[in-house]
Amino acid sequence: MTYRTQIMIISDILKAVKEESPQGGARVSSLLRKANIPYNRFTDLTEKMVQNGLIEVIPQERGAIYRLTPKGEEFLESYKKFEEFVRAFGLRL
Amino acid sequence: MSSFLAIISIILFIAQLLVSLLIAIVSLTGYTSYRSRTLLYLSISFFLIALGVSAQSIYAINGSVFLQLLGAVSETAGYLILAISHVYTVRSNIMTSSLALSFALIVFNSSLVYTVVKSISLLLLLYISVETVIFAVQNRSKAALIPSTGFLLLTFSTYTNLFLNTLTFNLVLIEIAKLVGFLILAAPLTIFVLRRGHTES
Repeated sequence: MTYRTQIMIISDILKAVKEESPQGGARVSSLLRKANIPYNRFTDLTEKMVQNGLIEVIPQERGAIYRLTPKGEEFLESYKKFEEFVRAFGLRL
Repeated sequence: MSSFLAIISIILFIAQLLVSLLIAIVSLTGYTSYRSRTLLYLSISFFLIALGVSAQSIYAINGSVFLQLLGAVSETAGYLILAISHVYTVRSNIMTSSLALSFALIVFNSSLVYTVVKSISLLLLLYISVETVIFAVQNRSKAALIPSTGFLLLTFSTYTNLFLNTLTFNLVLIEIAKLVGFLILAAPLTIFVLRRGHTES
Protein backbone atom coordinates (compact mmCIF):
# COMPACT_ATOMS: atom_id res chain seq x y z
CA MET A 1 0.00 0.00 0.00
CA THR A 2 1.52 3.29 -1.11
CA TYR A 3 1.15 6.44 0.99
CA ARG A 4 -0.99 9.02 -0.89
CA THR A 5 -0.31 12.72 -0.67
CA GLN A 6 -3.18 15.25 -0.55
CA ILE A 7 -2.66 16.16 -4.19
CA MET A 8 -2.91 12.47 -5.16
CA ILE A 9 -6.20 12.13 -3.27
CA ILE A 10 -7.54 15.30 -4.94
CA SER A 11 -6.61 13.91 -8.35
CA ASP A 12 -8.30 10.60 -7.45
CA ILE A 13 -11.49 12.50 -6.55
CA LEU A 14 -11.29 14.49 -9.80
CA LYS A 15 -10.75 11.30 -11.81
CA ALA A 16 -13.76 9.72 -10.09
CA VAL A 17 -15.93 12.80 -10.77
CA LYS A 18 -14.85 12.74 -14.41
CA GLU A 19 -15.70 9.04 -14.72
CA GLU A 20 -19.26 9.79 -13.58
CA SER A 21 -19.66 12.80 -15.91
CA PRO A 22 -21.62 10.85 -18.56
CA GLN A 23 -24.23 10.11 -15.84
CA GLY A 24 -24.63 13.87 -15.19
CA GLY A 25 -22.38 14.00 -12.12
CA ALA A 26 -20.96 11.96 -9.26
CA ARG A 27 -22.70 11.05 -6.01
CA VAL A 28 -20.90 11.15 -2.65
CA SER A 29 -21.14 7.40 -2.06
CA SER A 30 -19.57 6.64 -5.41
CA LEU A 31 -16.78 9.17 -4.85
CA LEU A 32 -16.03 7.85 -1.36
CA ARG A 33 -15.70 4.35 -2.76
CA LYS A 34 -13.60 5.31 -5.78
CA ALA A 35 -11.31 7.80 -3.98
CA ASN A 36 -11.07 5.42 -0.99
CA ILE A 37 -11.16 8.06 1.77
CA PRO A 38 -13.23 8.56 4.96
CA TYR A 39 -16.25 10.90 4.84
CA ASN A 40 -14.80 13.71 7.04
CA ARG A 41 -11.61 13.87 4.93
CA PHE A 42 -13.76 13.87 1.80
CA THR A 43 -15.88 16.83 2.97
CA ASP A 44 -12.78 18.85 3.90
CA LEU A 45 -11.18 18.25 0.53
CA THR A 46 -14.27 18.77 -1.62
CA GLU A 47 -14.92 22.06 0.22
CA LYS A 48 -11.43 23.25 -0.75
CA MET A 49 -11.91 21.97 -4.29
CA VAL A 50 -15.20 23.87 -4.64
CA GLN A 51 -13.56 27.05 -3.26
CA ASN A 52 -10.76 26.67 -5.82
CA GLY A 53 -13.24 26.14 -8.64
CA LEU A 54 -12.16 22.59 -9.49
CA ILE A 55 -15.60 21.05 -8.95
CA GLU A 56 -19.16 22.33 -8.50
CA VAL A 57 -21.88 20.96 -6.24
CA ILE A 58 -25.38 20.60 -7.68
CA PRO A 59 -27.97 20.20 -4.88
CA GLN A 60 -30.53 17.44 -5.56
CA GLU A 61 -33.62 16.15 -3.77
CA ARG A 62 -31.63 13.23 -2.42
CA GLY A 63 -28.12 14.43 -1.62
CA ALA A 64 -25.92 16.38 -4.00
CA ILE A 65 -23.93 15.58 -7.09
CA TYR A 66 -20.48 16.79 -8.01
CA ARG A 67 -19.41 17.98 -11.45
CA LEU A 68 -16.02 18.81 -12.89
CA THR A 69 -15.57 22.48 -13.87
CA PRO A 70 -13.45 23.51 -16.90
CA LYS A 71 -10.73 24.55 -14.41
CA GLY A 72 -10.92 21.11 -12.77
CA GLU A 73 -10.68 19.46 -16.18
CA GLU A 74 -7.60 21.53 -17.01
CA PHE A 75 -6.03 20.75 -13.61
CA LEU A 76 -6.62 17.02 -14.09
CA GLU A 77 -5.16 16.99 -17.63
CA SER A 78 -2.06 18.85 -16.46
CA TYR A 79 -1.73 16.56 -13.43
CA LYS A 80 -1.91 13.48 -15.68
CA LYS A 81 0.91 14.86 -17.84
CA PHE A 82 3.19 15.39 -14.82
CA GLU A 83 2.18 11.97 -13.47
CA GLU A 84 3.26 10.42 -16.77
CA PHE A 85 6.41 12.55 -16.81
CA VAL A 86 7.65 11.29 -13.43
CA ARG A 87 6.51 7.72 -14.20
CA ALA A 88 8.79 7.84 -17.22
CA PHE A 89 11.67 8.35 -14.76
CA GLY A 90 10.49 5.32 -12.83
CA LEU A 91 9.02 7.54 -10.10
CA ARG A 92 5.61 8.34 -8.60
CA LEU A 93 4.20 11.87 -8.25
CA MET B 1 42.75 18.36 -34.53
CA SER B 2 42.97 19.04 -30.81
CA SER B 3 41.16 22.40 -31.11
CA PHE B 4 38.50 20.74 -33.31
CA LEU B 5 37.93 18.11 -30.61
CA ALA B 6 37.78 20.85 -27.97
CA ILE B 7 35.07 22.71 -29.94
CA ILE B 8 33.05 19.50 -30.44
CA SER B 9 33.45 18.72 -26.75
CA ILE B 10 32.18 22.20 -25.73
CA ILE B 11 29.18 21.91 -28.10
CA LEU B 12 28.35 18.53 -26.52
CA PHE B 13 28.64 20.00 -23.01
CA ILE B 14 26.32 22.89 -23.96
CA ALA B 15 23.76 20.47 -25.42
CA GLN B 16 23.92 18.37 -22.22
CA LEU B 17 23.48 21.53 -20.16
CA LEU B 18 20.40 22.62 -22.15
CA VAL B 19 18.73 19.21 -21.91
CA SER B 20 19.32 18.89 -18.16
CA LEU B 21 18.16 22.49 -17.57
CA LEU B 22 14.99 21.82 -19.58
CA ILE B 23 14.13 18.76 -17.44
CA ALA B 24 14.90 20.77 -14.27
CA ILE B 25 12.69 23.72 -15.30
CA VAL B 26 9.73 21.52 -16.33
CA SER B 27 10.01 19.65 -13.00
CA LEU B 28 10.16 22.93 -11.09
CA THR B 29 7.04 24.17 -12.93
CA GLY B 30 5.27 20.97 -11.91
CA TYR B 31 6.44 21.37 -8.32
CA THR B 32 5.09 24.93 -8.06
CA SER B 33 1.68 23.66 -9.24
CA TYR B 34 1.41 20.37 -7.34
CA ARG B 35 3.93 20.63 -4.46
CA SER B 36 5.06 17.12 -5.28
CA ARG B 37 8.24 16.07 -3.47
CA THR B 38 9.18 13.86 -6.42
CA LEU B 39 9.13 16.81 -8.82
CA LEU B 40 11.17 18.88 -6.34
CA TYR B 41 13.83 16.15 -6.11
CA LEU B 42 13.84 15.75 -9.90
CA SER B 43 14.25 19.50 -10.34
CA ILE B 44 17.09 19.89 -7.78
CA SER B 45 18.78 16.82 -9.17
CA PHE B 46 18.83 18.08 -12.77
CA PHE B 47 19.85 21.61 -11.69
CA LEU B 48 22.86 20.05 -9.91
CA ILE B 49 23.62 17.91 -12.98
CA ALA B 50 23.43 21.08 -15.13
CA LEU B 51 25.80 22.83 -12.72
CA GLY B 52 28.17 19.87 -12.91
CA VAL B 53 28.07 19.85 -16.71
CA SER B 54 28.75 23.64 -16.75
CA ALA B 55 31.72 23.33 -14.40
CA GLN B 56 33.14 20.51 -16.50
CA SER B 57 32.70 22.47 -19.74
CA ILE B 58 34.62 25.40 -18.22
CA TYR B 59 37.26 22.90 -17.05
CA ALA B 60 37.57 21.75 -20.68
CA ILE B 61 38.56 25.34 -21.56
CA ASN B 62 40.79 26.45 -18.68
CA GLY B 63 41.84 23.11 -17.18
CA SER B 64 41.11 24.14 -13.57
CA VAL B 65 41.27 21.04 -11.36
CA PHE B 66 38.93 22.74 -8.87
CA LEU B 67 36.22 23.09 -11.54
CA GLN B 68 36.72 19.48 -12.60
CA LEU B 69 36.17 18.35 -9.01
CA LEU B 70 33.26 20.78 -8.47
CA GLY B 71 31.61 19.43 -11.63
CA ALA B 72 32.06 15.83 -10.52
CA VAL B 73 30.77 16.56 -6.98
CA SER B 74 27.78 18.51 -8.29
CA GLU B 75 26.83 15.79 -10.78
CA THR B 76 27.21 13.14 -8.07
CA ALA B 77 24.99 15.17 -5.71
CA GLY B 78 22.42 15.35 -8.53
CA TYR B 79 22.44 11.58 -8.98
CA LEU B 80 22.29 11.13 -5.19
CA ILE B 81 19.11 13.22 -4.96
CA LEU B 82 17.63 11.28 -7.88
CA ALA B 83 18.48 8.03 -6.09
CA ILE B 84 16.88 9.41 -2.88
CA SER B 85 13.67 10.16 -4.77
CA HIS B 86 13.64 6.53 -5.90
CA VAL B 87 14.11 5.42 -2.30
CA TYR B 88 11.23 7.64 -1.10
CA THR B 89 8.74 6.97 -3.85
CA VAL B 90 9.16 3.61 -5.57
CA ARG B 91 11.72 1.69 -3.55
CA SER B 92 11.42 -1.87 -4.72
CA ASN B 93 11.51 -4.80 -2.33
CA ILE B 94 14.77 -5.85 -3.84
CA MET B 95 16.39 -2.46 -3.20
CA THR B 96 19.17 -4.10 -1.20
CA SER B 97 19.88 -6.35 -4.17
CA SER B 98 19.91 -3.31 -6.48
CA LEU B 99 22.48 -1.60 -4.28
CA ALA B 100 24.49 -4.78 -3.85
CA LEU B 101 24.51 -5.27 -7.61
CA SER B 102 25.65 -1.68 -8.08
CA PHE B 103 28.45 -2.19 -5.52
CA ALA B 104 29.46 -5.42 -7.23
CA LEU B 105 29.79 -3.66 -10.57
CA ILE B 106 31.70 -0.62 -9.32
CA VAL B 107 35.41 -0.41 -10.04
CA PHE B 108 37.73 1.75 -7.98
CA ASN B 109 40.78 2.14 -10.21
CA SER B 110 42.48 4.86 -8.20
CA SER B 111 42.39 6.51 -4.80
CA LEU B 112 42.17 9.98 -6.33
CA VAL B 113 39.30 12.07 -4.98
CA TYR B 114 37.98 12.82 -8.48
CA THR B 115 37.90 9.12 -9.32
CA VAL B 116 36.21 8.29 -6.02
CA VAL B 117 33.55 10.97 -6.63
CA LYS B 118 33.02 9.70 -10.18
CA SER B 119 32.82 6.16 -8.83
CA ILE B 120 30.06 7.24 -6.42
CA SER B 121 28.29 8.77 -9.45
CA LEU B 122 28.64 5.44 -11.19
CA LEU B 123 27.20 3.57 -8.20
CA LEU B 124 24.23 5.96 -7.94
CA LEU B 125 23.56 5.81 -11.68
CA LEU B 126 23.64 2.03 -11.57
CA TYR B 127 21.18 2.08 -8.67
CA ILE B 128 18.85 4.51 -10.49
CA SER B 129 19.05 2.44 -13.71
CA VAL B 130 18.29 -0.80 -11.87
CA GLU B 131 15.39 0.79 -9.92
CA THR B 132 13.94 2.29 -13.13
CA VAL B 133 14.13 -1.07 -14.91
CA ILE B 134 12.47 -2.78 -11.91
CA PHE B 135 9.72 -0.10 -11.87
CA ALA B 136 9.18 -0.56 -15.63
CA VAL B 137 8.95 -4.34 -15.31
CA GLN B 138 6.75 -4.34 -12.16
CA ASN B 139 4.34 -1.72 -13.57
CA ARG B 140 4.61 -3.00 -17.14
CA SER B 141 5.44 0.58 -18.11
CA LYS B 142 7.06 0.76 -21.53
CA ALA B 143 7.47 4.51 -20.98
CA ALA B 144 9.81 3.88 -18.03
CA LEU B 145 11.99 1.55 -20.11
CA ILE B 146 13.07 4.45 -22.35
CA PRO B 147 14.67 6.58 -19.57
CA SER B 148 16.32 3.48 -18.12
CA THR B 149 18.19 3.25 -21.45
CA GLY B 150 19.17 6.90 -20.94
CA PHE B 151 20.41 6.18 -17.41
CA LEU B 152 22.36 3.15 -18.68
CA LEU B 153 24.06 5.35 -21.31
CA LEU B 154 24.98 7.88 -18.59
CA THR B 155 26.30 4.97 -16.49
CA PHE B 156 28.37 3.76 -19.46
CA SER B 157 29.83 7.23 -20.08
CA THR B 158 30.61 7.74 -16.36
CA TYR B 159 32.29 4.31 -16.23
CA THR B 160 34.43 4.86 -19.32
CA ASN B 161 35.23 8.41 -18.17
CA LEU B 162 37.00 6.90 -15.15
CA PHE B 163 39.74 5.70 -17.48
CA LEU B 164 40.04 8.76 -19.74
CA ASN B 165 41.17 12.18 -18.64
CA THR B 166 42.72 13.68 -21.76
CA LEU B 167 40.75 15.02 -24.70
CA THR B 168 40.80 12.29 -27.31
CA PHE B 169 38.42 11.11 -30.02
CA ASN B 170 37.26 8.36 -27.64
CA LEU B 171 36.37 10.94 -24.98
CA VAL B 172 34.28 12.84 -27.55
CA LEU B 173 32.47 9.60 -28.42
CA ILE B 174 31.78 9.05 -24.72
CA GLU B 175 30.41 12.60 -24.42
CA ILE B 176 28.16 11.87 -27.42
CA ALA B 177 26.89 8.75 -25.61
CA LYS B 178 26.24 10.92 -22.54
CA LEU B 179 24.35 13.49 -24.63
CA VAL B 180 22.23 10.73 -26.18
CA GLY B 181 21.53 9.55 -22.61
CA PHE B 182 20.36 13.04 -21.64
CA LEU B 183 18.24 13.31 -24.80
CA ILE B 184 16.56 9.99 -23.99
CA LEU B 185 15.88 11.28 -20.45
CA ALA B 186 14.31 14.38 -22.00
CA ALA B 187 11.97 12.20 -24.11
CA PRO B 188 9.14 12.39 -21.50
CA LEU B 189 9.06 16.15 -22.12
CA THR B 190 7.33 15.40 -25.43
CA ILE B 191 4.21 14.63 -23.32
CA PHE B 192 3.85 18.38 -22.77
CA VAL B 193 4.45 19.30 -26.41
CA LEU B 194 2.43 16.58 -28.14
CA ARG B 195 -0.66 16.92 -25.96
CA ARG B 196 -0.85 20.70 -25.79
CA GLY B 197 -3.67 20.81 -28.36
CA HIS B 198 -5.64 18.17 -26.45
CA THR B 199 -5.58 20.25 -23.24
CA GLU B 200 -6.74 23.41 -24.96
CA SER B 201 -9.65 21.68 -26.71
